[in-house]
Amino acid sequence: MDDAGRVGRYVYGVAPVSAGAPAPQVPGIDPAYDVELLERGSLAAITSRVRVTRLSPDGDDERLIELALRHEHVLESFLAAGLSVLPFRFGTLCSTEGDVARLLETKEPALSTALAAVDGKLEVGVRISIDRERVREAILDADDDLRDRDAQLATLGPGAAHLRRKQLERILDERVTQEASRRAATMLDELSSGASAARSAPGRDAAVVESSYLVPAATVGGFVERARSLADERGVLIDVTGPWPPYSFVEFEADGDR
Amino acid sequence: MATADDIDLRRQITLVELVDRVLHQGVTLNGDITLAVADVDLVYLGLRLLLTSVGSLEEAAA
Repeated sequence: MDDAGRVGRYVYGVAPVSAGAPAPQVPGIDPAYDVELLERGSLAAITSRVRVTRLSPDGDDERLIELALRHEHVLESFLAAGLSVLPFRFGTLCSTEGDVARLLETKEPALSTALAAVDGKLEVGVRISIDRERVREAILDADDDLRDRDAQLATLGPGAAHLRRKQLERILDERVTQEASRRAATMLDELSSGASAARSAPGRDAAVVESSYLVPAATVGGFVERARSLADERGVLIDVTGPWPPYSFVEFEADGDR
Repeated sequence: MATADDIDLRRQITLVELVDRVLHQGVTLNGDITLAVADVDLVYLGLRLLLTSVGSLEEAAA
């Protein structure tokens, strides 16, 4: 099939039909076309025309990021206008306007349920990581026994010192990991009380844990501030991102229509 | 005080979080109403490359 010049319908997400706030005027993922709302029943698809070939990043990361940012920007514009959104994953493309309408009609119950679950709520990302060196120092400061053993290393001959050092480092390493998980868990617990829902996953790279919180839009500012304030002087680092559209709290099962 | 490196790292983290959500989360539809994006495998391949390079950048900054 020749896709050159073909124009499809990109779908960013679904919003509730509301008589209140008007839809924001915002360029779509293809800057040649603005975003429009397509309404069916109680649901409005956030959609725009797109030249299909523009969706292909051709393995170019910069291009992919630009597309992802455009998708995000559209949803953020709706959130900024005080509207709720049920975000769709990047790359949802229909052939025609009629297909978007059909999508809303056939998936109405599942979409409405998923939308209700995130209505009036935003997502905040919290990534906890540690400065192992500083946590290690804090542990040594607080533990006389380990500190003595560390100090004794200087009095031993090189062979014995090497073995003891390896042993001590192994113990310390384990303690640092335990201490980090313990402190991360305490922080996550504390944050959960301000959220409607939470999801956590083991952190990638240097992070101990990565969590997402679903927070009422009205209290999201306070939540972000509180999360930032949990970083401490003893080596726990917190990166807070968002507020995002509630991507991680979408509960929608594609019902086997493959 | 945040250094230029800190700010750059933070921007990278935000970018990874963004791409992660937009490309991996949200409502996913299958079926005859939606077209498959022809290059979807390329999209994910590209993302993995991106995450790998950001990961090594964080290690270098740690």
